[in-house]
Amino acid sequence: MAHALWGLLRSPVPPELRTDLAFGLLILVLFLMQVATGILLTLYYQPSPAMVAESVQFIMRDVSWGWLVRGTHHWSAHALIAVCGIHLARSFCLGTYRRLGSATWYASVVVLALLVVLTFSGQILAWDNEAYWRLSRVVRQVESIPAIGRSLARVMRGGDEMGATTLSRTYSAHTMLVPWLVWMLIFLDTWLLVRCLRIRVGGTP
Amino acid sequence: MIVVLRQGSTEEEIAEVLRDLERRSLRGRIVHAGGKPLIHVTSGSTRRARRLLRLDQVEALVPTSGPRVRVEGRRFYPYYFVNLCAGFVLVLGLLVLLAGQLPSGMGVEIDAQHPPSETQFPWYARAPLAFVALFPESLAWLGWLVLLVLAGVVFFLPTLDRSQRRTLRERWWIVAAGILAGIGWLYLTLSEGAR
Amino acid sequence: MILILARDCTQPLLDEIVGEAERRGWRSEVSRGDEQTVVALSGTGDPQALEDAFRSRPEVDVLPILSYREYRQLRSRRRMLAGLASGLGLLTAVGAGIPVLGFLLPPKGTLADRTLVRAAGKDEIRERSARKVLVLGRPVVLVRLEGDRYFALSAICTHMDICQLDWSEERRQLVCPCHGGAFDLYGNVVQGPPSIPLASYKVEQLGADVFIRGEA
Repeated sequence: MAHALWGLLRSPVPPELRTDLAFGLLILVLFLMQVATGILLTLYYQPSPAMVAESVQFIMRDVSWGWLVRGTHHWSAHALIAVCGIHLARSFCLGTYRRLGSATWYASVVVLALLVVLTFSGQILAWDNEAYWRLSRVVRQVESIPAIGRSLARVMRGGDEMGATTLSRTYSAHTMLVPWLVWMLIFLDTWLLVRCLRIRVGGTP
Repeated sequence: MIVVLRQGSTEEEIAEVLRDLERRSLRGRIVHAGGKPLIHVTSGSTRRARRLLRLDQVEALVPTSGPRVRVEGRRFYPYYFVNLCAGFVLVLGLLVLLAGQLPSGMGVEIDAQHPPSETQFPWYARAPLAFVALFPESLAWLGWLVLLVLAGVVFFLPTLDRSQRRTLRERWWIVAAGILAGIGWLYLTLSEGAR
Repeated sequence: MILILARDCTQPLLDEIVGEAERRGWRSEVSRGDEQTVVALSGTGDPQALEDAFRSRPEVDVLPILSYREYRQLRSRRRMLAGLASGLGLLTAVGAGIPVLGFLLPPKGTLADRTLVRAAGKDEIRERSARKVLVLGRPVVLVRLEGDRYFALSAICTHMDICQLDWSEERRQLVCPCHGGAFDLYGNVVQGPPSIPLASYKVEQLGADVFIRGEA
């Protein structure tokens, strides 16, 4: 990817692609920020019901710059969803989903969905009263799906009751599963954009 | 890349530049334009040629990448990325400001016995929930189904919209649909149904 | 002037473009390279007209040959821009690096600090009002004055160690409903019968929450 980015930096950008590129790079920068601050937060965060409040308190109170790391993680998550949403809405209105090739559109829609999942699960990780009841409402909604709902809800809770397993499942999805999916899609998106630029710019790769 | 030499450079000076190029395993060919001798560097990595500027008779090195791009597309290219990076730094500064001014709280301890009277959902999830709440309780499944179909339409948009119309005016209906959807989303987000 | 074309441009295209330039009063010299084809033009034609003629053709790039001074200005501007950009980058890197390093260093406190108890969110108590909370099993009154000034005092009157004190907003005192004793916000006795001052607790504000240190 570093190679692809270097190529982007050195090649002239056609004016009509500039805004797309700016949005894409902004999303990439914010996501990198999320990864960096997220890794830092895992150093102190403890995903067990007894320790969650303690560890979050510890980050905010004792760890130097803890407020900054947690705060920027929180705010750039929301900014990511907003920026990605605006990017998609713009692409929808201008019809760039045809010009850039449809693959980037599919990738962007899935990325937005995954970002929503990431932010939602991140807010669940606070494991306070609001998060608990929010998640239980979602799980109850899932449970009402006919046929597969019950087993799906069991998988989400990690058992029949909300508890420690639910929290560690959410933690695992938030820090492992979903971020890796987003990474793969970002790689795909960058590759598609670079290829598109090369076709438009022509010349040597 | 093109090496621009000073007007009236002597044969000896031109030969010196060519020798220098050869030392860096680059090949050059002399052409003339506007009274100035030019050397078109025809092969080899041109990054190594930067030191040519030390020679007195060399006025400039003109990069010539991107042969099929019009001049307008290129005029800003280094400046464009500087602007972009400056913008990113501003965005990060804004995030730091938000983190300092509006810190996220910790919330109260879990009370699993007593469900709260209303559960607040985050701003991005309110509109779909309010949309489902528009349907009567017994038809909630229909609301979810409609939502799913709408999401599918958005996802498969490139397959559904194969029209060749390019300009905004020719696509007014899709822009209108987008604006309507945006207004609807905003209304649902602010409405009471999202509780 | 210089015209730049693709390395693999066809001969008819090249001929057409050279012909167009020669019709406008330029002499041309073609040089084919590995990465691009360069057509060097010399003569007395109008550079602006040439640029306009090829503006609509994406396969041709028109570059003017500038004077020595203009090249020098371009170079110094590029150098300044590069300096500015790297300065900005360095500043950002340092600005981001200090918090990261600070975060990585283990802090002095321990993780399991149960003496600090979350009492309320900042928005949960109105100004000039109070709320009773339990801190390590003991009742405590948390008073919020104007702005973010908080006081935490034991809620048990020192007279008989039984009655719970109430916050009186107009008197700005904690009042005992049993025998009329009153304390100010620093725990001092304002009105009998109690004679011992009230224990006060340390209040800490972290983010959007108010905490009470329960070791007093």
